Amino acid sequence: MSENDRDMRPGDREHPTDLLPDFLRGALSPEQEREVAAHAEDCSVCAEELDVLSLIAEHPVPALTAEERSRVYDQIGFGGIASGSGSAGRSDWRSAAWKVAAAIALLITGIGVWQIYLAGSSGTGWSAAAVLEAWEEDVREIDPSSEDARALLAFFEPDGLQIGEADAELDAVVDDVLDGLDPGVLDGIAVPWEEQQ
Amino acid sequence: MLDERHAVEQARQGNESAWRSLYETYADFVFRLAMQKLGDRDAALDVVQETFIRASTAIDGFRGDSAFKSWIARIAINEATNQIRRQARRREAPLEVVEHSPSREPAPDAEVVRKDMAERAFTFIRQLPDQQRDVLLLRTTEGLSYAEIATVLGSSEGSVRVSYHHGLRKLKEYFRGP
Repeated sequence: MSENDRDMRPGDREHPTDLLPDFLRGALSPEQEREVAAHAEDCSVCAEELDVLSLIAEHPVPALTAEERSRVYDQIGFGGIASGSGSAGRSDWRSAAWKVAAAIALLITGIGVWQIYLAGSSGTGWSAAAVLEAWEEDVREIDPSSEDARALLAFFEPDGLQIGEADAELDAVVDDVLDGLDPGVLDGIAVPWEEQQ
Repeated sequence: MLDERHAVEQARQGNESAWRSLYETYADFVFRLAMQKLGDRDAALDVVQETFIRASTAIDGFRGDSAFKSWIARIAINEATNQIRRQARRREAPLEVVEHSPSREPAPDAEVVRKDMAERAFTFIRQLPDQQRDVLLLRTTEGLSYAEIATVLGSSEGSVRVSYHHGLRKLKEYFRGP
């Protein structure tokens, strides 16, 4: 049974809300289309919803030009895979940057876990927010002119950044690193110590 | 017609023509998702590029439990979300908040007004919370079912339905005005 069949059966008196996007796209069966149209004629709620949804439907559909399609394809560099030189679009230096980024992320995680341990053992308690803040501070201490920082920034911002902007940008990098971490790891650590409080 | 399973298998082996087939099939789809979410052509092109680069590095992890389209949509949406975060961090002024209330005056040109309203609808949608925005766009512009959207977003179908209705309610309220 399709989603549409499930959402509205013959004689269904409820608002066919879930069918309205498909109604506008002309993706309903003729029978469903007649039912929705008839319903909307007498229902101000669905008529209003159709009006708002039709604004979205009327918006021009963006499409790649042939030039953009070709240019982006070349930039991706799928040919690099076929020739065995590595992943598409990732040259060797960027692979190295990945390793640096991973190493720094591990370092940061290690420091964070250590701080959690210290906070937990001293009975002062801790919060995930405090730990994240501490991690950010640790990353800020990385020498922005160092190769590590440069590689890390280059990885996350392939267009390149001015190292002079490194403080603010390192904040951004921290966010990206943290985004990549599984929050479940933190949760697993957090529970026992919260229970101790 | 693309034999997707075969193309994915070949892409895993590093076959460039398989990647070209997948790219030709899904580049527009990824671009649409990115454009609708970002509203910026250059940024959307970056998302297309990054999405396929990430797909090429992660293809070994794609086991075919979901459709390739859902898998690549998930990567694209994550990439577009990262773009939004980067843009927000670089922007000195805070995000422009839509506080427009529709004019009650008669429209001089109905078509222009309608186009303007459509543009405002997208501007508003882009400022919705992540899941509401993504669900609304995937459901209304791509016609994905709730189940498909749940797969793309790694969420439950129930949560996707709730997000859709919340997002749509806000959009209706926006056009109703105060």
